Amino acid sequence: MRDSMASQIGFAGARRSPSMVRVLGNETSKGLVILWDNRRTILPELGVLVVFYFLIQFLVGGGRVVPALYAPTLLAFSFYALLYIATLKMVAGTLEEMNAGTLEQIHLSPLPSWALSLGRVASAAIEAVAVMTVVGCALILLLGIRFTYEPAAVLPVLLTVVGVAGFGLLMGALAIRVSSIGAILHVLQGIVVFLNGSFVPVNLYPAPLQLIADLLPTTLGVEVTRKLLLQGGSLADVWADHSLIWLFIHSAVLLVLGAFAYQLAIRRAMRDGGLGPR
Amino acid sequence: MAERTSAIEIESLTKIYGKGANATKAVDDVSLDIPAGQIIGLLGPNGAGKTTTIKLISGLVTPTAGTVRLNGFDIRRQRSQAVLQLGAVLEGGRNVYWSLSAWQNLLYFGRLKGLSGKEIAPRAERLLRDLGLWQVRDAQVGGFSRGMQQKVAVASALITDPAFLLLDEPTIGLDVEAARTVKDWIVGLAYEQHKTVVLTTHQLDMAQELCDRIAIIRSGQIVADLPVPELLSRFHEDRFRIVLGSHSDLAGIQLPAGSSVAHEDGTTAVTTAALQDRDVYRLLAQIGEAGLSLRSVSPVEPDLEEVFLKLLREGAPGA
Repeated sequence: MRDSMASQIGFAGARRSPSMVRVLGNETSKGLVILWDNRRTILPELGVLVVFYFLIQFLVGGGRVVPALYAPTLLAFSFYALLYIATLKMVAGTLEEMNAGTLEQIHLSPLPSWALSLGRVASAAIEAVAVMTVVGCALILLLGIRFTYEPAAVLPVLLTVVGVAGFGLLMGALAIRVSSIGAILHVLQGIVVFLNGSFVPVNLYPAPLQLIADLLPTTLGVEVTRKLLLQGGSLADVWADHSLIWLFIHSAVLLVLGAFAYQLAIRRAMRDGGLGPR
Repeated sequence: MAERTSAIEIESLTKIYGKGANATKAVDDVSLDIPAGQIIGLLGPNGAGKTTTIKLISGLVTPTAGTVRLNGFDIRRQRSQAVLQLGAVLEGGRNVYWSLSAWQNLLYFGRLKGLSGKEIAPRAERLLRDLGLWQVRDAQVGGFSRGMQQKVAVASALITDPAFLLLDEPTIGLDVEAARTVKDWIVGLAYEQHKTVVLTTHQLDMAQELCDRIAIIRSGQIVADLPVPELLSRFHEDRFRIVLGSHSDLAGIQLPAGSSVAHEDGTTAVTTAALQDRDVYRLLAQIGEAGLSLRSVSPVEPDLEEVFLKLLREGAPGA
């Protein structure tokens, strides 16, 4: 039996590191296959988000539904949905991989952990964008909300997705190190939905709270996108008032910070023997 | 420059978890040189440091002190080259994705280590065919039996044809047939493909059957590191098994201290502790004088389990 087995498997063996593109594609395609396998869990998530949006409408309308508030709150709420799904998938995915032992197997790759984490966050972001789009479109059709469809709005949306990905990496890093990550995640998601404009415009908050809101992921993206889609502004306008630049910087910083934190968390986990099943 | 003969070089490897009063020394100054093609078994009780040693070798746990070199590549300083040398099946986890099929797992882990889809396909096919998984290659691994899942984990570890295979409890939870398949694989990989295998197991019979060499770990330290025959011979004692016909009455016989008596299959078997030759003759004389029927007298060879337990109880006699 041995002759028919091991003797035939004479491979040359891997002797080179994979390219970044291949790793990104590999991680993303794996994430999407797993996402498709978990497709039954997405429908309830969509339902919960839609119900949550309606509850917000009653709250901001003082017990009534005010159609004038649909558009501005929906924009902010869609970005919250993006963050909610991306962070949930990053945290749940990381914990699942730790417990399954696949996080250890992944780190037998020659690539640094931050490179491996980008593929993971890419698939989480794709799922989050899909959910955001479905929730947004469903509510637009359901409530008859009207926007100015400005193609340039794709830019702030993409920058916000990048920022959310960075925040997702931060949460993933915390998931590796902190056992109470579930509670932390819920609190942070709550702060974001409260302060990013899903309830009331950020400029109605006191200045210190506005500053905190602007530091959170999605708030600047909501502001810039709102200027383009609801206030008839152009890219030149958001460039001139520096809001687009701040969004760019904010997203870039979040992504770098997230990748750094993830790398640090993996390094600490390797030091403490905490990369494998808990 | 001196020629390097060891495939895996472990030097003064130490791992301390925690700090201050909470510090725990999981691995304590372990040094091993493992030549290519050798199967070495790391044995020890729970918490002895076997799994930590495996994870230190694979670079998944950072050592407090010491070095690990895989084919000359330092696992810390030359991590990229070092990890390309090894595949691992680790204890306590699934090691593969249950949501993916066997084929998708091999594709994923192959790409993760730098192989292209074209390179992976023929290798994956051979591995899956040889492991009897080809027909179910597109089914989700989560639906497989434990043995099939373990086979996928082994195949994933081998997809890049690594020089070293680290196996932490590779047959745990497997039925007899699946365990036999994995054992055959391990032997084939070492003897036919010259791969170096480091395995941990609690199944001492398996270790005795598979390993060229055994390192026994206790409290993070290696208390014995010898080729299996040498390890057994070092613990050889002049013990004897004396089989008497029927259920013999030994009331009149003065058995040496430490002897045990068992009645089995219509015979009476006396297993003595270590004896001098004159004590053996004296005992046989007593048996003869009592008129008991002597069937056989044979030396008792120690097995690995006895050696293991003795080592853990008493330490190593110069091993």
